Amino acid sequence: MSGRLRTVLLLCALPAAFFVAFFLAPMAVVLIASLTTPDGHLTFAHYLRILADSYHWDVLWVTFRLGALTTLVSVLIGYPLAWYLVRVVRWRPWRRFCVILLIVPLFTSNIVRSFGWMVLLGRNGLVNDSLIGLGLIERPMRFLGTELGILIGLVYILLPFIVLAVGNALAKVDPALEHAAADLGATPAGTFWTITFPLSLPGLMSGAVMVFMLAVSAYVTPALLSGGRITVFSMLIFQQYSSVFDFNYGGALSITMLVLTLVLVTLAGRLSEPRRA
Amino acid sequence: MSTPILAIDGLSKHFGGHAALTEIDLSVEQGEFIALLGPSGCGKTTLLRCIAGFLTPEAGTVRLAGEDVTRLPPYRRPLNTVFQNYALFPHMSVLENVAYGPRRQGTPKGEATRRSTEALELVGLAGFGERLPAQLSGGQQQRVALARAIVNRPQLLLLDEPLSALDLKLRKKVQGELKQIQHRLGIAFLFVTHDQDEAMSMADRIVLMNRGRIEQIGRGQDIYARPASRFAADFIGDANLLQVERRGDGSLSLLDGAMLRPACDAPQGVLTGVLRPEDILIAPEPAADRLSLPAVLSEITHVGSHALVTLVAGSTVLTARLAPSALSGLAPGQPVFATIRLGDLSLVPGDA
Repeated sequence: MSGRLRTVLLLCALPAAFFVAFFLAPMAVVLIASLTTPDGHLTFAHYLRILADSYHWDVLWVTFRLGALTTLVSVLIGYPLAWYLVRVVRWRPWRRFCVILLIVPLFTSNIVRSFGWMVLLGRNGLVNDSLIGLGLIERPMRFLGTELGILIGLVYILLPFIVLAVGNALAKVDPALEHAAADLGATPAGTFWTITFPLSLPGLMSGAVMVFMLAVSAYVTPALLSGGRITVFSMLIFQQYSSVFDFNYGGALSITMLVLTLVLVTLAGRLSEPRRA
Repeated sequence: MSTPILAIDGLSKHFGGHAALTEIDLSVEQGEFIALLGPSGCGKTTLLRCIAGFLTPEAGTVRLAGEDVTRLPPYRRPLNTVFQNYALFPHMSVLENVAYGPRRQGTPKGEATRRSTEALELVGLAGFGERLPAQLSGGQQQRVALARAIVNRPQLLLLDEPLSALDLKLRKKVQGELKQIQHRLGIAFLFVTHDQDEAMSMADRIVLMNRGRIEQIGRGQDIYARPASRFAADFIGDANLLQVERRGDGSLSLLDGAMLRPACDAPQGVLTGVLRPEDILIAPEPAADRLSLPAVLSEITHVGSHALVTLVAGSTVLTARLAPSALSGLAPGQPVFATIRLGDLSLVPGDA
């Protein structure tokens, strides 16, 4: 019997060890570093420094504003796109092709795709050429080094998450429910807002939370598209670790961002939680 | 006569090359209980969807209380539906589900709540308004679906196999309640089912469908006693199907024994005779006032209140349903006479 118990313990210990080694331990290292001085004494000085420095608050504000805007734009584009794929496209090969088109970029590196946008958004890039060609603007617009440029890059990279999450949710809505609504006198728009949209909301929320977290913590895309003019929080953290070598302060920055993100995501989750009777 | 609440005229619907409905004509009077009965794939659900507006037919018209609604979308048709799996909105409470219809039609919230509460009381679910559909049993969900469909007081209610998800005992109970509610509200019910017992016990008239066509419309007992086709005879109740030949002189030949049948309007040629099991009696001697066919008793099966007796007459096998008391002195292998009344024999077109 004890041999069996040992097997059970071993089987439980393996995933636990994996979790500790790859998630808990790095986190603990960062947390401990953020609460100690370089020579190992407990201190809150790093956090006080962050709280007192208005520059950090400015960067945080830019970061979360970009994250929120990225989420909003991704939802506004992604929801109709998911609707199109799930509800409008009837021809299977075309739907499959669209989904592949959506997923394939995820297989390439963020760096490559962000560089692609640098080319596209440059002064003489495809975007400016097209806008001038269409007569919408007279002189090339500045995208690189603006929040708009970063926003475009982030939305492009994170859009698939929203489309997949919403598409999955929409596909699960029973068509009989929409028939029932129509039968009870709801117009197509009424049916959408009272039945389909509320039922797809959990999928939309999980997609939005994912996009928000990835946008807030993104480094490569903002770094490449900012042209050194805009700083987001992950760039501050990177500087501390790679240039200043202040692991303690870098750790405090990391934990600050983690806590703020978790608080915001939890609040959003509370607001959208399906109510219980 | 008043305008029928539902009038269907020459309705046809195709899916690709497959004819799902062909030339359907049907008229439903105010307050009638109609069962659309047929095997699966016979087109009864397709017909229901054409009436509700979820499908548009290629030909024919659907009129509701005299108004042509063939091209109207579902939300503009003055009828309601109880869906097969109830289709209750999972994110709304029971009361919100029921109030959905009145709210969509612009009824103020207080009034909608009052009427919904009334409808819930009518189906025996008073006090359940605050629950979510997932917190109810199958039978309770079925009642919510009914309350939601009748709260707008439609003149026609469509029911798409509403009881098929309930177990047998509950189904019997709900059948009775449904009939009562229908009677009380005076709403015409169009009830889709594949269960002939359900159709027989509930409906004023049965519309029997097969392969996208209406085989026969009539009261259950009339279809049973006088089936119009071989399919109708076979689908409603049990039937012995015998090959009958009508000769040029008007006489009918049944099981190779010639006999005369007066006042017969059947066409000439080979026909099918329909004989219900309870119309066959067994006697040791030929009966004077009945047609007597020599047969061999081959098997007796007791099924509770009665017994099924299998008889072999020449190349034909007959099944008779008898009371156990009529079986005394009978044993398998015994030569007997199967006796029938000529009037109990129905003739339908086609080969048996």
